[in-house]
Amino acid sequence: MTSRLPLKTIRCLLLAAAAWCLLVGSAQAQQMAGDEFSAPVQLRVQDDEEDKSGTRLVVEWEMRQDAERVAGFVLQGYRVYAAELGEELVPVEVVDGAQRTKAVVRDLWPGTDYDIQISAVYLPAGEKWATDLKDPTRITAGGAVEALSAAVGPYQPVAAWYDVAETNVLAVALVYSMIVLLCFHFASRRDMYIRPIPGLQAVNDAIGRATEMGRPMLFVSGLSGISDIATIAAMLILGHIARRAAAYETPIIVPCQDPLVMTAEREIVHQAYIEAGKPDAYEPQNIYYITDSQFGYTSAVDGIMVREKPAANFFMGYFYAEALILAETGNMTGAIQIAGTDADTQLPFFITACDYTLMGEELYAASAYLSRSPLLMAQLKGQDYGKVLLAAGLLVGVTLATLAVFTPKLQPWLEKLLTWLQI
Amino acid sequence: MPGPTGPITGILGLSTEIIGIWVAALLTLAIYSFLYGDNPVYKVAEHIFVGISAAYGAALTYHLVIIRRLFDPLFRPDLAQPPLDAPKISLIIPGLLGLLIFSRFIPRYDWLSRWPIAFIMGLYAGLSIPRVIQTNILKQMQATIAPVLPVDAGGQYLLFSGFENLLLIVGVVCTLAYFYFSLPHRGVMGGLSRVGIWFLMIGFGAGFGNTVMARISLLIGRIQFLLYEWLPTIGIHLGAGPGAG
Repeated sequence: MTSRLPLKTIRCLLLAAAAWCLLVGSAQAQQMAGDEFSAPVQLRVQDDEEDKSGTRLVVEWEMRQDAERVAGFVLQGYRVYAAELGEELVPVEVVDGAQRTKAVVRDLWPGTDYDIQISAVYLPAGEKWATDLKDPTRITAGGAVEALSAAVGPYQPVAAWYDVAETNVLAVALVYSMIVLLCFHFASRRDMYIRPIPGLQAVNDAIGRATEMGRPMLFVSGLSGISDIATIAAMLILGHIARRAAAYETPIIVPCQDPLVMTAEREIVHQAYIEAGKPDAYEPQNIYYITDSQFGYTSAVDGIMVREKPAANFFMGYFYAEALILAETGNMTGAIQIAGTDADTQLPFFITACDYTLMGEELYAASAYLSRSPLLMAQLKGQDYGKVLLAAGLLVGVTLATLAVFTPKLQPWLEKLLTWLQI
Repeated sequence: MPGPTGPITGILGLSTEIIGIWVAALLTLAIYSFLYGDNPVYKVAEHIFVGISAAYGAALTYHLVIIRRLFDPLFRPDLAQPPLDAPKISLIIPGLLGLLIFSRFIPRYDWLSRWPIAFIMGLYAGLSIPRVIQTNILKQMQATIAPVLPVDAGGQYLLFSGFENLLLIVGVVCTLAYFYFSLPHRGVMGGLSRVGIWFLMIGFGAGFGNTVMARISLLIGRIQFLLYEWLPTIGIHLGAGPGAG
């Protein structure tokens, strides 16, 4: 009896141990099989409050504590998938780093429903995180395994009707608009003074010179598009020059780098010829498109300068690296040259190679100066009074900043001013 | 820099790489020939440059804008990038605006071409006003407001920083005075604007030197190309072997 009882007990214990091992083993195996690559959980999506344009959503998620290393793989980052409601989800963002569990989905449409999904990206141990240079959402690291969460949604990025942070911009725009409107009110009642601008006084001399020499004039309106303020200012100057050219029947050549600018300039020159009473003298073939390639255009204009030998060259608008090449070639041909640009990096080259240069604001003032139209004069006056306010504001700000060094009571006022100016 | 060592195959027994180097070198020399004066070689290079760039630009616009951004989303939504379930009808509006430009070919209706131009100018003017106020006014003001007698954490005066800040505010105010058009540049205004023009010219001088240095580096790049990439190819064909020259 004494020998059988322990044996039975041992058998029972062995059976129990075997059953326990089986249970634990199967549970572990089940866990390995089911949770080998954990996917992100508890996705939270909300509109990005900092983005007032309504094009961004912020996504946050959580990962299991033990999910970072699984069977020779290491959790290296995440991929965010998004799509409009009902469409196939596509990767839109990658997050490098297992600990980073927040992403911003950009370039969405405001007020549109989106589904969002996150995948945890596991790479074989030792493999480094790498993405495609052209398509940063494509993971190029070898052996990557993704564990996808459930898709959540729909969520909408919401655009704000009013961005409180940009109240300062609105205030400046309103004050400036009021000044211009007041100036317009007074400009229509009495003459307004504008100081002489040498470059603009020389425009009429240059037209006269070309007429006397019987040679054409060349007008280049820069290399930026029709939307650029400098191009618009250049086109207004072109209108004035074309009116004079039409009156004296002096040909004007206008090579263009932008097809839309060419279209607008043809209209302007045509209108100028009509206003001068010589619509038949208008030659649309003198205003033509060359190419939108920067140096292709430059080489062609250089060629025009040396072959057509214009007596006056006008370079008005926004210029890049071609400024010096154009101005030097024109200088070589002996033409009188008047340039005007707000490209501060190119102004030195025009100043050195041209006879007269309109710097920055002078280019914008040119149209008002030449036309004396009440509307443009009012704008120019408005700009001047705006500059006075700006200078006064700066002097007040610097005085306040200096006094605040000695008087700590003024510090909060200074901070308020600087915060208000903050974009 | 090693010379080209690719197999000599392709057109007339020359590798495409060597043909490319020769075309680039000859066009470079043709453009530089303008330094001597206008000549037929420069004219050829100029016309090739203008022709190729204009044609390339047209082809690029056709494929990337007209086909990819307009035609595919409108008429072949399944081929659009990304594919769409249904045609994007809203694209008819920009498509029509673009077509209005062609009304210039019909003199009776050429006034219609002003609409897309007006649309673009209005749109960009509206978009650029807040940006200009932000970057050219508010941001600049914020950066200019600094004490002319600053002190460090220990209460010591930072005289050099103070001088820099003073220079900054004097420069800004005087330059603004130069660009003030409503008063003649006489008396106080004349003095301020003269100081302003000095500030401008010092800034332009620094910019001039900086840009000339960058241009010289471009020239060096071209000369290196001619010396180390083009000249060795002459050596190959004279039997001196790769890397010669």
